[in-house]
Amino acid sequence: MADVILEHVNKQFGKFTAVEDADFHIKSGEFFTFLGPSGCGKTTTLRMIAGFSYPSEGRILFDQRDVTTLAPNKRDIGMVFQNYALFPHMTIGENVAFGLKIRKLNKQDIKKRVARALDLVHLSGYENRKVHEISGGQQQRVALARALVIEPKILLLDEPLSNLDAKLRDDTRSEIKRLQMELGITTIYVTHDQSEAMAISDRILIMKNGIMQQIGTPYEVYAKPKNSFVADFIGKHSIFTAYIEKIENDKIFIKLKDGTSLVGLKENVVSDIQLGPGKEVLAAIRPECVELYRNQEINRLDTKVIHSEFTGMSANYQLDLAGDTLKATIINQGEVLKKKGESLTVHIPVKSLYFLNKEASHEER
Amino acid sequence: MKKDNNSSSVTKLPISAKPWFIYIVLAPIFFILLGYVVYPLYRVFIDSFYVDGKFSLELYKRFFSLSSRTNIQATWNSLYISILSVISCGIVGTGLAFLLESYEFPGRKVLKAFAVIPMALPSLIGAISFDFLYGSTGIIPRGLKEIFGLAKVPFYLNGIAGVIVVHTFTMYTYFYLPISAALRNRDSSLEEAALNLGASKGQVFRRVTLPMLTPSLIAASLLVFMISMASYTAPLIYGIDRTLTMQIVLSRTNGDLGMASAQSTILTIISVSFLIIMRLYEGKRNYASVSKGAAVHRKEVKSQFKKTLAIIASIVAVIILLLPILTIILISFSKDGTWTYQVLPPKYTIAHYAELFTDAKTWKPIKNSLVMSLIATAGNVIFGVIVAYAVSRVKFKGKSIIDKLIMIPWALPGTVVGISLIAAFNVPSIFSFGQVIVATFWIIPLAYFIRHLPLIYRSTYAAFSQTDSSCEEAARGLGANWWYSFRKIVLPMVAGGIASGAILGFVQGIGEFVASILLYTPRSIPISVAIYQKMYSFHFGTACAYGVLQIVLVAVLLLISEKIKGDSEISAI
Repeated sequence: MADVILEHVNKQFGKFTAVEDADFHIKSGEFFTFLGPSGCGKTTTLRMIAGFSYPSEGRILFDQRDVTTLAPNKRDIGMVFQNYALFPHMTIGENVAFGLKIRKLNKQDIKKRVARALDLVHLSGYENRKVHEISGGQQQRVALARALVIEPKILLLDEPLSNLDAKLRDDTRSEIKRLQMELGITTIYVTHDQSEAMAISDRILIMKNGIMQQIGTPYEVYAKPKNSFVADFIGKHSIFTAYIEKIENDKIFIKLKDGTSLVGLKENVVSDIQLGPGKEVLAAIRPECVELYRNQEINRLDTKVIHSEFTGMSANYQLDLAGDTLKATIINQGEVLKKKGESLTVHIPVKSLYFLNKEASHEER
Repeated sequence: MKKDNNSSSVTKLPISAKPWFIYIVLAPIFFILLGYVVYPLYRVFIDSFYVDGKFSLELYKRFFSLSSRTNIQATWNSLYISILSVISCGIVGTGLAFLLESYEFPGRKVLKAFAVIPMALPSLIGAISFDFLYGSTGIIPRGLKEIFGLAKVPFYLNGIAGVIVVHTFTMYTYFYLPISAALRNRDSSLEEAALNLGASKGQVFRRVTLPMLTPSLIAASLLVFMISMASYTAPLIYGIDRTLTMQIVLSRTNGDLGMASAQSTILTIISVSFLIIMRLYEGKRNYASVSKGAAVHRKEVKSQFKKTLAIIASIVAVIILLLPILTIILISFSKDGTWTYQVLPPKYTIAHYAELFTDAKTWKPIKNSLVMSLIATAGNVIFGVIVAYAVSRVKFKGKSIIDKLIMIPWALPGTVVGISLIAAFNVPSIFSFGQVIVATFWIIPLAYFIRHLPLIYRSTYAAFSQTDSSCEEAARGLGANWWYSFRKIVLPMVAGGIASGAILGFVQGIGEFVASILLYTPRSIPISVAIYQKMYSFHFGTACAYGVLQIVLVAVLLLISEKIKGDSEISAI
């Protein structure tokens, strides 16, 4: 078990900045996920932790020890690659034994530990199979066994589920989580799939264009997105540009472009937004927070249906609000589904309105 | 972009991760490319501008002089032969590809299997067999004369026509293979879509099928043109003195190294321009079909008459394809000096084969070829592995320079390689560590090394780029140091691809004639040169026994290479 610290890490490829000022602390035994769209720098960051490339600036520490430019074979990490990277000229057993052979264990010990590792991933007795004789899901588990058998301090997983089909993905995901809990190993997981990240992680780092957007527990990044990018990427929030009308006690009164008034709570202001009458803010609303209007006093919104679909459990609407789209998921309680062009009056609870920053980007820094 | 300057510091990289480290590793590679590819060409180029140690355009004046038009005529002949070869190879190769890929008829499979036979025929043996078969004293013309009791032979191959027929036979596969691959892999749904949109069959062929084949056709044309320009063996056998390659060798034989340099320079410029055109064109063409589409169906030949016709035509074609090899085999059993005016050799013996392996003098060229080709191939493989690993795994500037330098020898005619090595290494130079290499044993392995550099590098590079680089990273992550993971993971994964390429290079070395004839010393005579010498002392039997040995070696090695390639493709998922 080890904790991992990145101190102001930058990675430059020529003039292109792949990672900018990555600065965070992963606690020992934590399941930590790098989440973001492709090209956001998450894999580059992982590869720097693995030692396959070195930061241009900054430091990487494992348990207070500076490993910034340590060779990858001296880091004591286990890594699972997106395409598994199993050695095609070796059997399953030889693949798993590879790291142990390098550590010069005696033959009996190697055999025992390989058997145990394969047992751990439910592949007992597969030692003598060839790599191309087993399925993708099994290959994935061999890769996991190969990474875990050396009892690494840190486990790195680079989009390990992306080559599996949907059903297998769910099973393997819980398998990975189970192993991580059982072994208590510090795990860094890279994915672009937000639901995967939410389900598996202790904490999530959300990145875009090489820049950290937010770090937090799945609940925090979902419920309290720091900026418009996180809000959109995680919660499918509808985001509106608005002006602050006034601030009274714990309430903030805003006006949308078309003059619609909304009220939200001051505690829902995320981070360092400058408050004051006339200031521009981004107001975010999650689809499942939108309710049907039932004579509430405030936050009544008269909208027109742009598109509607019925999923059985809920009705999903895209509503026209102030020229922008408000997404709404209304749990099915027997209401008639409104069709395109019909009007629908909805209500936003005061506590469900969030005030955000724009996404962190290069220009602001 | 503002930097957070108080807490971050620029990372101090270990030596192996410094950007200049790769250049130190690659320094020997640059040395080899500069010394053995660039420098010899540079010498030839410079030599062509100096007469008696003074700068002069005299040689080029002579080349383009209108009073003695030998060189202009040679250039014209070379171009003319090359263009006709392209047309002829194109018709035969493309026609055969269409026939074999579009129609189902009795004999198709057999014909298809034999269609690639010319590839196993070393150039000298190919040309000699045609002379034996179709020359003025050849088996076929004489045989026809005897059978029909004619006063004269009814036809025979000679001169430029002979050269073009030999070129067609040996080079049509450069059209046949890519065109049949393109036809086989084409997306038939495109043609169906065109039919569905109302195009007639003729329109579909002109507007859809043909444009899809154009890239392959153009690439094959350029290739055949380049190889024809470089061809030396066929003009030699048919006595066409006035081609550029023949003139180069003649100048060299007459001791006029200056003129040989000027001629080589002109030929190099033509060849390298074609290489450049080809590379530019390769960069642009990309008609890879998007969908797999339904398998292309071959049309079955149904009528009995056509079926019979197809069987007869297939048999004739197979005979034509096999005759050269059969002839060489037959003559290899003939007693030296007994075959004069007869249609077929009158007396037979197996002594030539016994001699090959028992007589020290006859064995020597075989041993020479094996040893020299092996040395060159070993050098190629080491060079290829280093460069291919660096180019496919490491980021550095100068990749495209290395790639271009390596590809140059591919465009160079063997004659030019020979002349340029003579020009560069008949005096001591730093690249030969102060030694004269010309007239030593080492000059031919060096020539083979240069000639087969592109072939082996290409296949080695392909092997590296097809394997997954994350396997190496996985090994490193599991604790293996660089050398260990290179030996245990990287090399085993690429070994098959490298071996199959190396065998191809070795095979080329076994059959090499053009550079060898310019560079051999009495102690380093390779098989092809021995064949040539035996031919001219009328030891046809011995010459052909050497030839059969060459063919067997080439065929066996090619089969092994294919097998290895197939195996390694299966294991590299």
